[in-house]
Amino acid sequence: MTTVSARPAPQAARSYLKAPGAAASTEPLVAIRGVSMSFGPVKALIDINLDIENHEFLTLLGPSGCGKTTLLRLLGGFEHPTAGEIRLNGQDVAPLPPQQRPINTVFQNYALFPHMTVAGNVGFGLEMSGWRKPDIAGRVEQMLAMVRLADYGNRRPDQLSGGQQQRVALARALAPSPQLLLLDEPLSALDQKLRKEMQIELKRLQKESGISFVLVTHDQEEALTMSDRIAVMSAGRILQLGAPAEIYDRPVNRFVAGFIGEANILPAAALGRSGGSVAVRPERVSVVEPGAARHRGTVASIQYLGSDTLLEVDTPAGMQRARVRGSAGYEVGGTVGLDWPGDAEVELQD
Amino acid sequence: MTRFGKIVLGAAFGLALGAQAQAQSKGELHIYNWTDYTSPELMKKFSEETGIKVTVDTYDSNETLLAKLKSGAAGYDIAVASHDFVQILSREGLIQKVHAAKFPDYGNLKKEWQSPAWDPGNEYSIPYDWGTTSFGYDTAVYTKPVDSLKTFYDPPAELKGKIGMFGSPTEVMSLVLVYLGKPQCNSNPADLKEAAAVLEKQKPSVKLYNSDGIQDRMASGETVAHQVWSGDFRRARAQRASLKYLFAKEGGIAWMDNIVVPAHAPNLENAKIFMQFMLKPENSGMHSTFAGYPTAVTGAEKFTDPAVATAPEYLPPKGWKYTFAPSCDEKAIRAYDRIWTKLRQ
Amino acid sequence: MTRLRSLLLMAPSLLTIGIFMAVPMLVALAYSFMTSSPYGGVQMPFSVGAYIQILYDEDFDGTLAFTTDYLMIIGRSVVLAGLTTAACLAVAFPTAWFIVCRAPRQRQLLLFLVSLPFWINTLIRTYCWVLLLRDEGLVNHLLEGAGVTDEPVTLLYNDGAILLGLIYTFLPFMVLPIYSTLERVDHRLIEAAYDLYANRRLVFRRILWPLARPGVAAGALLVFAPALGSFLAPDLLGGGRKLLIGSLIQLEFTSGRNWPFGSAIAVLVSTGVLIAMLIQARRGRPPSELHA
Ligand SMILES: Nc1ncnc2c1ncn2[C@@H]1O[C@H](COP(=O)(O)OP(=O)(O)OP(=O)(O)O)[C@@H](O)[C@H]1O
Ligand SMILES: [Mg+2]
Repeated sequence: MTTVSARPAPQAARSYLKAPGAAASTEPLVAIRGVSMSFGPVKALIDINLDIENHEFLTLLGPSGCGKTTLLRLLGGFEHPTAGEIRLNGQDVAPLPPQQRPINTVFQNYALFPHMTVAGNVGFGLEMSGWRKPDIAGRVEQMLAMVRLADYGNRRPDQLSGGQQQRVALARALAPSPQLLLLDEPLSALDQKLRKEMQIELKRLQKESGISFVLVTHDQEEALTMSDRIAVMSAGRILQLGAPAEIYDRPVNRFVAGFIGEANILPAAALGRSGGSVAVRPERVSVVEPGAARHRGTVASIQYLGSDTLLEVDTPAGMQRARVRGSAGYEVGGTVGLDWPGDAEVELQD
Repeated sequence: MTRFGKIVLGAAFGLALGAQAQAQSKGELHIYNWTDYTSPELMKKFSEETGIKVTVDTYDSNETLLAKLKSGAAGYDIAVASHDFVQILSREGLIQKVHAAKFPDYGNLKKEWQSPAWDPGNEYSIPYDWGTTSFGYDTAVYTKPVDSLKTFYDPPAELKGKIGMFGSPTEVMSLVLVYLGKPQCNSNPADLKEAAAVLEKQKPSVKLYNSDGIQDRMASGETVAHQVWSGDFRRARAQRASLKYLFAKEGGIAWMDNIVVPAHAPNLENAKIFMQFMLKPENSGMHSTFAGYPTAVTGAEKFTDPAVATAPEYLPPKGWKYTFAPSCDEKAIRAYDRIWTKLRQ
Repeated sequence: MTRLRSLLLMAPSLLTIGIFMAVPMLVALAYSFMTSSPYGGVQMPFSVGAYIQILYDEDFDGTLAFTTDYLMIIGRSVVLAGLTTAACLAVAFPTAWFIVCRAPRQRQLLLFLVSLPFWINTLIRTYCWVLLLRDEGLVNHLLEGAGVTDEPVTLLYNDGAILLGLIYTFLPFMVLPIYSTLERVDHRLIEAAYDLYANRRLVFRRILWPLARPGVAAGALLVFAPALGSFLAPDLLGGGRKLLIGSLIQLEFTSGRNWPFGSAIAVLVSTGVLIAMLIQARRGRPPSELHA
């Protein structure tokens, strides 16, 4: 299997910025400090602080319009922040145009050059950064093999399927060995099956290349399966940043708890706790005999999900959901008890 | 008679004429004339007197007229053609005999204009108006007295680079031949070489070759001397009083436009009525005022605006020698064409 | 069945092309092989004399002599039309790009402004240049008023004035097709090129230019062909001091009364343009092969 070598390309952008190794050990690959971005009256980003580490797979997750694309475009250099600083290897790159940043992008619609062949597309970045012709040919071959399109070099983009185009876009962006790869919803145009395959492929490419990936998605499952860290965004802010398990297990607020997976939100008082509210994941809830249970209620609905069953139970503390194995004989209107371990309760900030 | 003015004004007149004189039932008259050459007031008068509805279509060169009539798709009752084309049109059978000499008012035509060389016995035509071709210049720029065309063909320093010439080879050649005292429609190699040499020598002093917009160029001082039609020059002089039209000692070129009736004219009788209408001094004078050129009708001057009729270039002085340039044969035309092409290499 | 249907559907456009393009050219072709009649027009017998005349013209005494006069005229016209095309391209491309980069409503307005001259007769517009450029014209008045010059600068009646007039007349024919191709270029392609380390010059050369080429080719043809045959600008702005193809053809059809010769030159020029078109069409067909 071919791998993406970390061979530095002889490009202007590269020499302008310090090599990753040369950076101070405390400095992350990218440091975003107090970045805000407004389009006229629209505040797309508000005081963003975020580090992107070397070799990491970071996902920006959030609902439509929350500012994911804007943040990505700031990193790519297509927009410039209204306030704040973006440092790459310790140097402020906020004012630099895209061509002077060792950062490449996989565009949402791929943006392949229609008048060039696949090989022409993949080699474009190399050509622009001054590679010699024979080197380009070898590198293109290597990249196409990596994305499993070895024999497609002479095709035109419009002669490829969506998934193949996607892979060409990846190869094109990775060919110049950027320090950071940005991907804006790269899989959204693919069907479910292909998407799963490409998720695995992407993760593999990231591991092999060692290049940091920043992926934008609003698909929580995608974020959970692929990322080293997830930044959950809403209305121009980052609400929570952490590893998938951390985000899932300890959401900081209602929005995160609700946006990633499902959660029962209960007032803290109902559990005899102090503070505002508490989240409990439905799969941590067990359905027990009503007698001994801490919470009791009537079954409002039953949803069979194949291997699991989702019950909605009307309790004094509100509607609670429980996800249980199998499909034991509950019936709507019956009284059940609900219970969960203490560590399943996550205190929320709001 | 500038092409520019013709197009702009022609469109306006076409509209104006179309709007009036509709209700009468005495039939129609379709006139095909040079642009800016048909007095709308006169046409109105004609319609009022005769009840005939007039429509006017325009063209910008004799060649267009010839081509149109040749194509057979005409439908015109009256056309106006220069004297050299009257001969061509009759020879080609494109106009019909009207026997104008039998018109009651035929006698209104001045003796010298009756039975001209291009239409003996006025079988086909009556004169519309006539004028001369020479040079005009600005006496404020060139103050010395001028009596010869030499001043313009071999110009003094004051005029160099500021002379305008006609843009048509036949008109340029005919005046050069007058200057050289050679016969018109010349295909004698020696004469042609001489004429070509005059033009070649003159070229560095020529600012442009263009028959359009002369009036404007002379009035603005863009050119200080120009080959020009007499009537056009009067209009330029009205804007710049220092202009003077030269009746040169070598003589000059004259032309006459004539009213003819195309073969197969749908309203032959109305066409004859129109011709007779134009023989009346008051109508002829009205036309003269509009066009700025003298007509051939006795007494028309009395009905012409004095500002027009007394202009120095309106009529040549008695005894001035002028030549009606005839329609030339193919050989001469080819030779002129060749000189013209070479000249503008 | 479907073939017949598609043929029927194509019939109106084929007919239009046939009537408005092929027929006049065929007529010119036929005329060019006939003999001129004395007062204009053509007559039998068939003859190749008109084509011979392009190279061998009759001298005053009737002998045939080799002449480069007409070749010179054709050459000069081709050069002038070529310069016009190049200048139009140089102006039109940035203009079209500028318009494409505006907001949709501004674009509408700018496109309207570009096509505004079409509403006014070309003769009048060309004549307006005479009024602007002549010795007593606005430009000279401004120059003198600003103290740049003391006496009128001769701006008219030279090749530069002709070129200016041609560029002015035909510029919209270049802007509009280029605009229509540039408008369809996905903006993200340009961002992608920048992202892949292309600078402005390379983005233009490698992305915009190849993608706009169909429009450029169409524009070049729409400018070159009529510029080659135009006679208004040469006559009015050039002062008729130098003959160009358009004026020559016009001359032969009017006072020259030599329709076959005029037709022969027209046929020669049209054939040249047609060949250029075919070459262009052939080169432009598979755009993917531009950068293999
Ligand atoms: N060029 C622009 N001009 C004006 N407003 C903009 C512009 N780009 C983005 N916005 C606004 O900024 C906000 C964030 O947009 P952005 O595209 O970053 O959202 P997103 O998170 O990528 O959404 P989606 O998931 O729908 O792609 C939105 O309110 C959007 O309307
Ligand atoms: Mg987005």
